[in-house]
Amino acid sequence: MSWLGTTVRQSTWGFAGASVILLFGIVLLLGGIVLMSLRLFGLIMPGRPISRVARDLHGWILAGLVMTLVSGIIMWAGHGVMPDLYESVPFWLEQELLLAALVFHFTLYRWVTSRDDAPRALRGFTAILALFLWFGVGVAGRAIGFF
Amino acid sequence: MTLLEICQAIQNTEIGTAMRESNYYWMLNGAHVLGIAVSAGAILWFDLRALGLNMLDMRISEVYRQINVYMTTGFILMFITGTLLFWARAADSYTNVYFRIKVAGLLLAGANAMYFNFKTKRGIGGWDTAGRPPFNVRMAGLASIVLWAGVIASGRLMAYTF
Repeated sequence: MSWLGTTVRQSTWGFAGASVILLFGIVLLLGGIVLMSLRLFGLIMPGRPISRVARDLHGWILAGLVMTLVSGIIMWAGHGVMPDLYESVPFWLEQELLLAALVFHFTLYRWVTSRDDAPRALRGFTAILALFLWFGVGVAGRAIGFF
Repeated sequence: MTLLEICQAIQNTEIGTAMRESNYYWMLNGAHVLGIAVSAGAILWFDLRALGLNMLDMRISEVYRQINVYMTTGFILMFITGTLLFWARAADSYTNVYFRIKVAGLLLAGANAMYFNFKTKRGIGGWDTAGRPPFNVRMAGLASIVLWAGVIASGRLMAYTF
């Protein structure tokens, strides 16, 4: 990955530009998760089937995921800006939460949001877990620059 | 007093300084950044409907009704955290070119929203159920997306030019 790292570090706007794309990705990804969670709690569009809402938001979450992962990789590659990234506690916390979020997303989350008859308690639990994991990634990621 | 001197005074207040030097300052910053998920996410939800790109089977007024509370809550959160962040670094922000671009974007986004709410929405009876709303409605949605994206981008770029 060193060619990517060098390219990012040598370009004036490489790291900064990637961090902007990261934020746009966060709007789509976390925004989508928030909206889906609100539906799972029954707080928004209660008349619209859960599976339908999930399909409406599928594009958001997919696009947001691609944008955040790609820009995240670019920022990681260019981390000469932040030489001790590998010593950063929040960085590793972020990666662990990201892994957990991804596993969760393609298992329980997918199962619950693809049907309309999931038990209410399970829906609520899935929503809380989604918010905790994805915002956890966000909080840990933000902390990287401060610790 | 010049605006710059006023901003310096604000930044140098006890509260401003306490916030800026606090170990928890990053949480205020984080709340503002991650708040875009709720605020911009809710706004985008409505803007895409105004553009005729999602939830076409739902009335525009119904989408608005469902999302309004979250748009408002998100906006209030961003306004409060943004004000506190400005308070902590008023002079640094005032002299930052990206901050000025951001403020301009905020004013334009606000004007766009007001125009839509007070003028364009009057004719909603004619296009509430339209899968593809009229041109001026779609333009309002597009302008909103572009302006808020600009606000977010310039807000992020502030950090690199302090």
